[in-house]
This record gives sequence, C-alpha cells and structure tokens, in this order.
Amino acid sequence: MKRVVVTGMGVVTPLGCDAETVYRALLEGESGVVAIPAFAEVADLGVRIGGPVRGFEAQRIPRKYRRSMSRMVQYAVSAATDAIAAAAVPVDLFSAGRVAICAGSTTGSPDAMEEFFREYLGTGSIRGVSGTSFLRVMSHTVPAHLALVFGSTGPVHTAACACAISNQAVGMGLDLLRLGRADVALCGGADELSVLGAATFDLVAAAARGWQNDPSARPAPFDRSRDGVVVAEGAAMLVLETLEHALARGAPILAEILGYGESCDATHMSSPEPAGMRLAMERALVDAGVVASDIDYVNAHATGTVIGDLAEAQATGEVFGDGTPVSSFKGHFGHTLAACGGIELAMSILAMRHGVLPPTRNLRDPDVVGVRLFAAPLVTPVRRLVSNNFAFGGINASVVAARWEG
Amino acid sequence: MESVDAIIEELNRILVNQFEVDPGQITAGARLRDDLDLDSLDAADLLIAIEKRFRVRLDDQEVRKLTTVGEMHDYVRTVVAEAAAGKLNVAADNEQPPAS
Repeated sequence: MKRVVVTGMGVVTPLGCDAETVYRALLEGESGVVAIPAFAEVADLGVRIGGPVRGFEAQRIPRKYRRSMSRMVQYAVSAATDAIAAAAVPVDLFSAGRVAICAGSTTGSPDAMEEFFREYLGTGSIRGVSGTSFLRVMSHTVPAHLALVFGSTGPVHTAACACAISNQAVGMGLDLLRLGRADVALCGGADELSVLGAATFDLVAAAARGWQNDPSARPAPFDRSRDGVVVAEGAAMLVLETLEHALARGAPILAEILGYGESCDATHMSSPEPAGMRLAMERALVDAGVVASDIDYVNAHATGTVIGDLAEAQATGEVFGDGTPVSSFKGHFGHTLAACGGIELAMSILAMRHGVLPPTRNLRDPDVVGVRLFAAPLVTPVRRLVSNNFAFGGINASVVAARWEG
Repeated sequence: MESVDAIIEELNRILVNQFEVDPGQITAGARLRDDLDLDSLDAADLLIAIEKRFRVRLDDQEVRKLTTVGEMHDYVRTVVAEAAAGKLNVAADNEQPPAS
C-alpha cells in the first residue's frame, strides 16, 4: 500500500492566516474570540461572541473567481494557495488530473442562503436574486471552486459531515492516494461565521451564551465552568501526496499520514456516545498499524460543551490511558466547524515538528478524569499523534500522523 | 428624475465598485465582454444592480443586445426616462376629476 505524506499546509483562522504565526499564537495563549455585535440584534439569540477570521485579504483572489465565492470559499482558496505554494506542487499536475480535491463545508454559504430568501420571501419574486447565488449555496461550493481556481481536472469529492469534515477529507484523500487514483490530494474544510451557525448551537442549548464583556474567557474545553460552543470561522487545506511522488520531486515533507478511522454512534443525532468515539480512534490506530502506546499526543475535538467534553475524555482515556498528553485548540479559536479538523491537524503537525504542544486555553479547573491535560506549553518529543473530530449525527473521525524522520 | 450625467456616473460607479473595472477602461466604446471581461454571469448581476439602483425593470432581451458601455448608458437612460414619464402620467391621471 502506498505511503502518504503531508507536503504543504495553509490556514485561515481567527488568529491569523500564516500557519507558523498561528502556531506561535497558540503557544502564547492568544484568543481569537471577540464580541459580535450583530448577534445581539437577533431576537432570542443568546450567543454574543464568536471567532471571526483575522488578517484575511480577499483581494488576493482574482475577481473572476471571487465573484461566485462566499467568504468560506475565499478562505478555502486562500488556505489552498498557501498550502500548494509551500508544497511547490507542479502546475501541470492539476491539468493532468493527478490531483484529487477532497473538501467541504457544513452547509453551503449561510450568507448566500440569507440573501436568496430575503429577496424571494421579501418580494415574492426571484428577480433580484444573483445569478451566482446557487454557486455559493451548493454543497460542493468549496471543492468545486478549488478545482476551478487551480485548473484541476482530477476527482472532486465533497466531505459533508459537519464538524468532522476536515478529518473526513483527509481520510478520503488518503484512500485515493493509496489506491493510486491521484498523486496529490488537496484536503480540508471551510466555514463562515453566521447567525445560522450560532443559532444551531444555541437552539440545542450547546452554545456559550453572553460573555460579550469577557469574550476570550470562552470556550473553556474540559473546564468545570464550560458552558458551550463558541462558533468561529476559517479554513485549512493540507497537501497530501504519495511518498514516492514527494520523494521523486524533492518535495518538503512535513509529516506522514499513517491512518484514518471513522465510525457512527448510530444512537442519537446530537448526544455524543463514548463507545462510537473510541471506535473511530481504535480503527485509526489499526489502519495506521500502531497501538495506543505508540501515540505521544492526542489533539482533542473538545468544543467546550458539558456532555461532549465528558464523553470525549472518557473515550480518549479508555483508548490511551492517562499518560498521553491531550489538548484542545477550541479555547483559542472557538469552533471553526468544517475547518476545525484541518486547522487542528496542521497545528498538531507543527507542534510535533517543534516538540512543543500548545495547552488547552481557558482550562483552569478540569472536571474530567482519565486523561492527561496540561495547562502550559508542553515540551516533549512527539513521534506520532492522533487528531480527533466529532460531528452531529454521531459521526466520529480520527487521523493518525507521524513525524517525518527523512 | 436623475440627470443624464448622474445616471452615467452611477452606472460607471457600479462597474468600478461591484465589477472592479479599471476606471480608465470605461469609455463609451469599451466592449462589455471583450474589453471589460464581463461574461454572462456578470451580465445577470449587472442587470440586478441596475434595477435595484434605479428602481426600474429592464428588458432581458434588450440587455442581451448591449455590447458597449455607451449602449448600456443609452439604454438605461431611456428606461429611467420612460419610468419617470410613466410616473408623471400616473400622477396626472390621478388628478382627473372622478367621472360622475
């Protein structure tokens, strides 16, 4: 079976748009969560804070492409541009159909949906609806635009399972590369901050409400005071590549993707199930050909919900015991939804390369047991890591990555 | 009713702000598709932008025939003038004494 490596990474986040800079911000404990005044204008919405992207330059994308792009697509294209540049992917590989694109967003653009329904329901006519509206709403808006911008004629696959999207995209890319259907796979996810996203978590009592006077204090994954998700936005794209292809062209190798595992709880649409989470991690370990004791770091999904973090800690502890360092980056970024897995995997790979693990921000008084949490940057050699993401619908997705020793 | 100059200025502003056309490229003879690089998707959005800005209804068939900036100026100017005249006529009609 072909081995697969990561040769480029790009991110667009509430803490900036340069991967190394964002990683440093994590170590320094910065927060990208701020008050969102527009949320206060929505009747009965308790959410007042969010994680908007910082330092993004839309103008870097030519208008011809940008005109049909929502913000989430612009973020994805920007992240992909950086990832492809870092990997120095040959341009002719795209036109030769040897690049697979595996990406997605939780929904099509909420902004575009609002725009359509405001016009249609407000006037009873579609006359004022933009011709590009559907291109921003369609479920494959992210991967389709990536293919357009980079002239990629290869497979275009949409990952669509909400907060597990990025990890699923990596899993899809891994499969395609192992099967020889492509030499390179561009994998990741993107989402844009919206009332829809905030309301989704608010309506099921899973959002941190209020906190507009102290936004950076939320979310608080694994902390006793945690009170829910803080919605955020962003994108991450990783260039995956077969090892043989990367070596042949002298590409920079950042890490190896050893394996992927996924599962469905099949028990409840929104209530997490530790057994399902555990299954995804165990399947990923088997796929990677390693055992739990080979793993030196677990990047948690941990969004800061009361029951989600508890279930995740239980599952993680059951698989890895209480000796393996575990941290979540949601306390820094908020929950970037479809983008979170890609951002977290990229940051975890950088942490593995630097040998310094960012801790969980806003964690002061843990109330979960059975896992090794830490409150300050942890200097430790990491040979292999697991990055977990879980989504509504009981979807669980785990990636195993390893340090590239060259 | 807006003056001819104001209508042209506003149309050009739409081209610059929404479609990021270089102001230096906007001349009466500039071709919308070949010189300003506006294609069918842009044409649909341009129509919406004009209708919203001037509160008029454009004829899709007529819009498709427009090839230059000058033709667009002329067409929109005509439609805006007709719409204004229509409103005046309606107002004048309303002033007629009710039939007894």
